[in-house]
Amino acid sequence: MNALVKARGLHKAYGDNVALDRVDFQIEEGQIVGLIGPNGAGKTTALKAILGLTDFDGELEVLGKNPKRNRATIMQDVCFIADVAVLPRWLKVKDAIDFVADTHPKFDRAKCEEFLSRTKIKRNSKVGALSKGMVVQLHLALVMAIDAKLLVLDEPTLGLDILYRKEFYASLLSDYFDESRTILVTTHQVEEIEKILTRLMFIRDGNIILDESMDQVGEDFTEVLVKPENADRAKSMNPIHERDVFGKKLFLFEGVSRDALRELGELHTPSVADLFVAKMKGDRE
Amino acid sequence: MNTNIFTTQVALMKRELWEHKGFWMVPFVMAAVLFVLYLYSVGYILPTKVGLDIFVDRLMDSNPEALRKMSQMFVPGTSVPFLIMMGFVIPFYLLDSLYAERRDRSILFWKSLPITDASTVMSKWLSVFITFPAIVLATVGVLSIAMTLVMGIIVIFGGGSAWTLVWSNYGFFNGMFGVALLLLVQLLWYLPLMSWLMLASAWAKKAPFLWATLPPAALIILEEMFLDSNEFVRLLGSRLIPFGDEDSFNNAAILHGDGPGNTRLFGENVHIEGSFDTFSLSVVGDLFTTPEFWTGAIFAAACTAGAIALRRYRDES
Repeated sequence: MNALVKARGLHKAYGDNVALDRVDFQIEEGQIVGLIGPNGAGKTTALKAILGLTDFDGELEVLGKNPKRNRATIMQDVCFIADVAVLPRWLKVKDAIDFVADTHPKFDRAKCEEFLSRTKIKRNSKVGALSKGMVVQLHLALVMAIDAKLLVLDEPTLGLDILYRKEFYASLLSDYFDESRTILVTTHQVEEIEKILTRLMFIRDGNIILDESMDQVGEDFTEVLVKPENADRAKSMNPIHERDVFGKKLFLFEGVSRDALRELGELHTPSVADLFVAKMKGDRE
Repeated sequence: MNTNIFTTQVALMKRELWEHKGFWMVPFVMAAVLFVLYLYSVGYILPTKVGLDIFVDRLMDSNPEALRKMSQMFVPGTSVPFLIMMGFVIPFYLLDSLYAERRDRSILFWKSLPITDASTVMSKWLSVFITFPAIVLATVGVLSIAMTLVMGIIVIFGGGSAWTLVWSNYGFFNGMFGVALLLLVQLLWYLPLMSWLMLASAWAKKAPFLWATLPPAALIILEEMFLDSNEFVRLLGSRLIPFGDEDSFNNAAILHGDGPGNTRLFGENVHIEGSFDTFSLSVVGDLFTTPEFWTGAIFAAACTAGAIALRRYRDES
C-alpha cells in the first residue's frame, strides 16, 4: 500500500498545552479515514500540520514532501474543506469557479459546472447570499472537480441540516471516491460517516488511542447484550465499557473472541459512536 | 486546465478587485461628482454670473502661450483630486490586505489552493502599482476628455473657435504621460510607508491600524524621552510630506524642483512651474539616484519579506 501521509513522532504544543504528543500514523491510498476525537484532542492540529498550515516537531511527509516547506506544491494534490465559513462572503459563485480554474492545474471546470447544475446555486450570487448548506455544496463542487489524491475534510457538515449532511456524504461517495482517492475526515457526527469509513482513528489528549481498519474494529470489538443473571460473569471478563439498556446490561469487549462471548447473550458490532464513548471514558477512569 | 505563474497572478489580481471594490468604485463616483460640479459651473454659473461672450472675449485676449499652458493643465489639473484620493484608498487597502482574509477565515480557502504566499503578497503590490493606477489614469483620461469637450462647446456657444481656443492646445498624451510618471514616482517614494502598512496588516490579530500607528508613535515618544531628540519624527515627516522645507530634502532633488525642465513633482507650485511637456522618464531615473529611495526600498523589501513569512508561518487557529 502506498502511504500518502506518514507521521513519526509528530508533536505540537501551544505553550504548556500539548496538542499532539509524538504521534505516529500513516494514511494509505484508497482509504476513507475518520479521525475522531473530542474538542481539543488534537484533530485540527493534525490536519493543519498535514496541510502545511502550522509548524510542528517530528517527521511528517505528505505525498513525499514536508508540508512545512512545500504547501503550495502539495496543494496541487491535496484538497481541503474546513468548516463552512471559509469561502469569503464577497466572492461571486462564477468568480470562485474562475479563480480555481485559473490557479489549480487539476481543476475540471465542466465537472464543477455539472455538480453545480444539480443545485439551486446561481452563478451570479455572492457567497454571502447563499445558505450555509449551499456554501458547502459550492465548496464541495469546487473540490470534487479537482483531481486530487487526498481530500481533507474538517467538520465539513458543521451547522448543516440533516438533508444537506446526508447529501454531502452521498455525493462524496457516488461522484468522487474511488480506489485512487483518499479521504481524511474529522467530525463530531460520527454516526453519519461510520458506514463509509474504511479506517478509524481515535485521538484523545494528543494521543492516537485507536488506529484500525473498520474490518479490524469489527473483529476486535464486540458488544454483548447480557441477561442480568450473566452480568457478573461478563464483568469478570474485563469489558471496556458497560451501560444499561432496557433493564439489560450492554457490555463492550475489546480483544475477546466472539466464541467466548456468545453464551453471555446477543452479540453486536458496536457503533462507532458507542465505541468512541467507551474508549474516551473507559481509559480515563 | 492550463495554469502557470502568469494566469495565477492575473487571477490573484482579479481577486483583489473583487474583494476591494473601492479600487474602481471610488474613482468612478469621484469622476461622476466632479463632472456634475463641472457641468454646473461652466454650464450654469459661467453663463449666468459671468456671461459666455465675456468669457470667450477674455480667452481671445489672452496671450497664446498662457492659453496653451492653461489647456495643457486640463489633464494634470483633473488628476489632482484623484491623486489625493489615492493617498487615502491605498493605505486603507494595505491595512486590510493581509488582515481581512484572516478575520473572515477565508485564508483557509486561499491556502487550500496551490498558490505560494509570495505570489499572494506580490498580487497586493501589483494591485497598488498597476491595477489601481491604471483604473485611476483611465478615469482621469476619460473625465478630462469629457471636460475638454464641454469646454469647447461652451466656447462655441460664446461665439469663439473651440479648436483655436481649447482643443488644439489640449496636450492629452503629454498630460497623461506626465500624470503617470508623477504617480509612479509618488508610489516609489511612498513604498517604505506602504510596506510598513502591509506588514502591520499581516501581523495584527486585531486593529491593524493601531499596529501600524502606535509603534512609530511610541518610538517618537521614547526618542524624545531618552535621547531628547526628534530624528525619527523628522525622518517620518520628510517621507510623508516631501515638500516644504528645502533644506531637509536636498538629497531628493527630483522632489523639490531641481529636476529636468524645472519640474516640481510635489508641492503647491505644480501648475505654475510644472511644465508637463518636458516630463520624461528621466524623472524616475533621477529618483533612483537619491539615497532616500534606496534606503526606502531596502526597508520595503524587509517589510514585504516579513509579511510573506507571517502569512506563511502564522498558525491560523
